[in-house]
Amino acid sequence: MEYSSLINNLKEYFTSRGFQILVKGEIQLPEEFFEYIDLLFRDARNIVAIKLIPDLISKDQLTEVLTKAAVLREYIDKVYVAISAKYKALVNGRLFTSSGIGLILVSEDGEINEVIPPRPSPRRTKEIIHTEIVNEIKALRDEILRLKRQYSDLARKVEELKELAKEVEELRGRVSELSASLERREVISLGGVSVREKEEATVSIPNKEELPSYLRDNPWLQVLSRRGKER
Amino acid sequence: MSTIDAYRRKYAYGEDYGTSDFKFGPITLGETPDIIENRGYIPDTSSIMYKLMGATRKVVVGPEIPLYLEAREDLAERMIYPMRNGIVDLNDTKAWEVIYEITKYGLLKYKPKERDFKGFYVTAAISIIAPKYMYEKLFEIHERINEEYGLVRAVTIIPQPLAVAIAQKKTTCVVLESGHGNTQISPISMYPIRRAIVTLNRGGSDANYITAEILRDLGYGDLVQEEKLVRMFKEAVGLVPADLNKAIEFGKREKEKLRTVFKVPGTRIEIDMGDQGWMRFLIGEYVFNPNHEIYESYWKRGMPRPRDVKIGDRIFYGMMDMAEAVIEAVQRTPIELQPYLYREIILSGGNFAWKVPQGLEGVAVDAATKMRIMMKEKGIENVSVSLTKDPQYSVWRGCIVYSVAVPDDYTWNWERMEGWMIFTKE
Repeated sequence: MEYSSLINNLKEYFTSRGFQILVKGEIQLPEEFFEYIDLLFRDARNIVAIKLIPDLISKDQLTEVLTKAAVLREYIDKVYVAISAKYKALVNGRLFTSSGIGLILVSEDGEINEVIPPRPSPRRTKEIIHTEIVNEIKALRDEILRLKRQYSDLARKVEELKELAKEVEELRGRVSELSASLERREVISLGGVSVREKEEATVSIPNKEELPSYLRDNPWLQVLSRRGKER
Repeated sequence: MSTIDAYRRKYAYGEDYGTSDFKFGPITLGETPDIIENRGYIPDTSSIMYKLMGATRKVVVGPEIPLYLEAREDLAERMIYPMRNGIVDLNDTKAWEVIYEITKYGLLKYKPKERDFKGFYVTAAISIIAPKYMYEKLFEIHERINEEYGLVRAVTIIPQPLAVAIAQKKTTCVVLESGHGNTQISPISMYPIRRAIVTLNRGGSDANYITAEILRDLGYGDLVQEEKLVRMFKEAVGLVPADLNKAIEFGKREKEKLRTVFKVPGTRIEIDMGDQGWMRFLIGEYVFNPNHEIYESYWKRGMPRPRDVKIGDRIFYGMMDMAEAVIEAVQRTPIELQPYLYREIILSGGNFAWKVPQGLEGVAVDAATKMRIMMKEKGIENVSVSLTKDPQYSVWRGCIVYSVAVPDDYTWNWERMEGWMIFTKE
């Protein structure tokens, strides 16, 4: 069977399973590996490469192909080697299994037989972790930006509060002055008691309930207020 | 009608220098003072923490102390409790520096912003057995704070039992103040009658000793090094018997009623008293009267026996029972006053906080009932004994009343040890 017929059979086989054909320019790969790839497919997020061996080759040549294909797994998720079914005697199954390369046998009548499935390449795991880390960093960067915005809002509000506190303090002082001034006026209007007298005077308890319990009806208030006068 | 000066209604201030806590604050706090531990930490100035905190203070007090603590062997040396026994040595400069810092901490915390503020009227309360130099030192400290911050208009110092009597609204009474190391019995009639004061060299720590011995007898000797655990056990299981002999008989007969298992909070340790529940009565009795023969065996084993000691010109009695001490104090006052004093006996301090569990009424009693029974046994029947309400706050409350009531012109006099030391005049 000719090379082109084999290729077509393989294309038909994979596309019928939902794989999408890729051309070599669509993936990034060191140039020297392209000669080991005859077909490229995308299966969801996986890249699948197939090396086709249409003619009879020696066991050594097959081993060399497998070695290159194994290296290819560093860049490609799944790698197959497709061989004409009539050369299946050449195949050492264990070599395929251990290297993670899939084996496809193509029969004379164009039937495709996936004898050994490929083992997914570890590169995918690394890529997933890498993507996750990138996403995490992006999320953190967004969070930092949000916090920076919040911080500057807060700093502005703190400044506003400081201004308010200053104003309250000034107002408190003015109220205190006004209150003292009113008290003095009240005393003078009540009948000529001097300001000095008012400052030293005592006041009666207007509402006993406002006082702490230990001051209410405490006989010591009388006793102590007479200190110095009874002797 | 009582009158209260408008200025002092806002700016009366109290300070209670207790052995463990410093209670302080202005009248505007209402019923309860602010409290910090009466201690200070002297940080190692070469430590990383000291440098990190950007500190320049030699002594740290109040809630900031834990920020400076370091896991060091010399922690005990650096943590100063200046009034552990109520008295501070004249030359203990570290202790006086701590007292200066806690005093300043309190006054600055409540520094008013009002323009009419010209300093607090501060009443400080200290132990009634405090020597004269402690008064001098405290005046110096307040004067220094006033010079630095203008916070003290006038200061006076009163003995703690007088403050208790004031807070309890009793003008003629005997105040029993029992602290960690000693118990003071102070007759008061408008003034503290200083010549009549009797002091016992016995307090909460002695109850701890007998509790530790009981723990040893129960097979928990390994736990007695933990002073806090011993104290917790004492407070949880200790009982005051109405009559020790009868209580022991009852305890040995009704074992289940006295059986108790004490679980140390936050640990897996459980102390099971088993059939030895009767020993609970030994703890409370020891506080009131250590003369029962049952205690002999504990002293023989090495438990410290309360001894008479002479400090200054005052004898601290070791073995005198509480009722005898009250009678001794009252008999040092004028005869006509004595019946009035017996009518109002006030018990103050944590050492009198004893509970009566359900089912043990009559066998176990509270401290006031115990005192009444003991006084009756000595032929004094017309007595009224009461426990202070809110004992933790009563000294501070008495200080506030004193600050509010004593007139400005009653200035300090070293003879009568009363009056205002005025720093700021208008």
